[in-house]
Amino acid sequence: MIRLRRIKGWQLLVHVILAVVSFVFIFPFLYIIATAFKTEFDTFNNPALLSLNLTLENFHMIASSGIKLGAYYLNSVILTAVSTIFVVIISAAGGYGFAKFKFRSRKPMLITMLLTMTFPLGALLVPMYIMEFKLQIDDSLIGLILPNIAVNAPFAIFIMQAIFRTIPDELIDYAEIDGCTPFRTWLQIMIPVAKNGLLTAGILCFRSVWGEYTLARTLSSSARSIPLSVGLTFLKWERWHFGIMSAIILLAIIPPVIIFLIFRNYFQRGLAIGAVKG
Amino acid sequence: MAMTRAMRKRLAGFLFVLPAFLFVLLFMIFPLLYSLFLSTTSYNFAYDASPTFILFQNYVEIFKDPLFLNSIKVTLVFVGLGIPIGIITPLVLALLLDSLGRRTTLYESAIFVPLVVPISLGCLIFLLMLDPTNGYFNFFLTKRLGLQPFNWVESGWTALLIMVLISNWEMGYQVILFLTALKGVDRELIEAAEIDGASGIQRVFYVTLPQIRETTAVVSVLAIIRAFKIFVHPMVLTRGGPLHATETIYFYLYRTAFEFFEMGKASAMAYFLSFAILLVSVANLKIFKTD
Repeated sequence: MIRLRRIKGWQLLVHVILAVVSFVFIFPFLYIIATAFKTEFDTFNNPALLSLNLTLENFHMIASSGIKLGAYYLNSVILTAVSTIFVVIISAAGGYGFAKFKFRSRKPMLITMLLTMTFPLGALLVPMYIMEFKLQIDDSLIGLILPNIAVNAPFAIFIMQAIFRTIPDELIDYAEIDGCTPFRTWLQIMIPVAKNGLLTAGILCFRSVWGEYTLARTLSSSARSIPLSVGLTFLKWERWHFGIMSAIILLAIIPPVIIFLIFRNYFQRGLAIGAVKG
Repeated sequence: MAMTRAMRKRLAGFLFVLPAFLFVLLFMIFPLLYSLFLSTTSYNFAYDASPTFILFQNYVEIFKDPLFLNSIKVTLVFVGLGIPIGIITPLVLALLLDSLGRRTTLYESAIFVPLVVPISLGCLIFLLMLDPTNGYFNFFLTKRLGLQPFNWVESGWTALLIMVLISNWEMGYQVILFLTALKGVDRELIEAAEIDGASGIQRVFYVTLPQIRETTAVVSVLAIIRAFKIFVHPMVLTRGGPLHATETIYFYLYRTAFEFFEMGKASAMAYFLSFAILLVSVANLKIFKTD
């Protein structure tokens, strides 16, 4: 008999518990994947999670169902891409400035930024709505991109300044002796060294903007700017076919889930940094 | 240019920070101050041409509004229900994951992946699963177990409880925080306790938990703040129903602003909520100071 490497009884028990818990956590995914590929008959008559009649009819029916999935999807992609790129750039600069330079307004500026993180988005909705209404940028992508950058910048800066702090000052000194301007030092020496941090900040920002609901629900009113996170919630009041609904949700969560699976470590590390200082 | 090297450096630092600060100034600080001003005015966005200054009257009036008082109660119940689920469960999961040491990637991925699903879409998935007539959950109850179908939005208490449970689908963040803290626990102390004959449970309570109490405090505060800020769940799952049973402060604030257009009152509510959250955060700082 082959003896397995000594797995103690309690370890086996822990494995069983964690396997059950994991199943509970991913069950909603299994459910919509299964439902998205089921026939209409099976969805309503066959309670089994898995059905043997796999079909793509739900995906085909999205096009003819009249939902503006394409517009919502494009809005989400543009909104998330532009916001994330901007947040990464301004937090790479801001984090560097806060971590490696001393100037008179440094502390008040840093405290102000961190303080804004404690405010709930709710306090921002009313003034933002009135402001955008008066500037006539409500229900536009730019009207969503600007506040999304502002909301995500403080946390990204917090991460970036923590990363830049770990880079030794000597690196900057050498660059300066070589005659680099501060901007060139930042762009050509610091950015490459901190690229893992930038990736972390970018991934967290991507996740945050792709899932953002509150601002979009308040500031958007048509397919011109409504992203997936809001657009799909309007469907539930209609008598929607469960299969089509599942197919649509599945398509909407694929990008963040793939990014998570590829960059899980960065994601985890980024969230852990946020904890070091509440 | 008569600029010393030190001056140039200071200017450079300021310029690096400036773009981000401008964004925050224009799209966070300015709106927040504007909202503070609005909270001292009577301003119906649908009828009034401009805000009328009424000092602190909004802050008095909102506390005479039974629905606002109800929303405070609902939020507190949410906090109360959410704390045991949102703190103890992640702690136990982190302890279990940590006890295995390695080979936990699959479990961790399963627990963390809900974090990347937009909350509103997560709610939609649960709405499908829990649907009283066609949802999987009721199929299972009636066809497999032969029980009565369960309509979770029928009573306020079940609606609130289910909402708390759904909001904790995304508890991966707390698990990550606990896991990170557990990695920093002194292994020698644990081994010493083991040699002294302490059981696994004793080691957890007397050696591990005292060493991660800072993280426990942080997670508790985060859980409380998160419960205070709950908004997407009532918005997508219940629309505040049944009969205002799931109408949180944040949700009622939203209705006040964008259904009744009472921008002054809504701003006062927002500042009340912000103040409550600030209090919890300050308490958090105090806990840190004492350590």
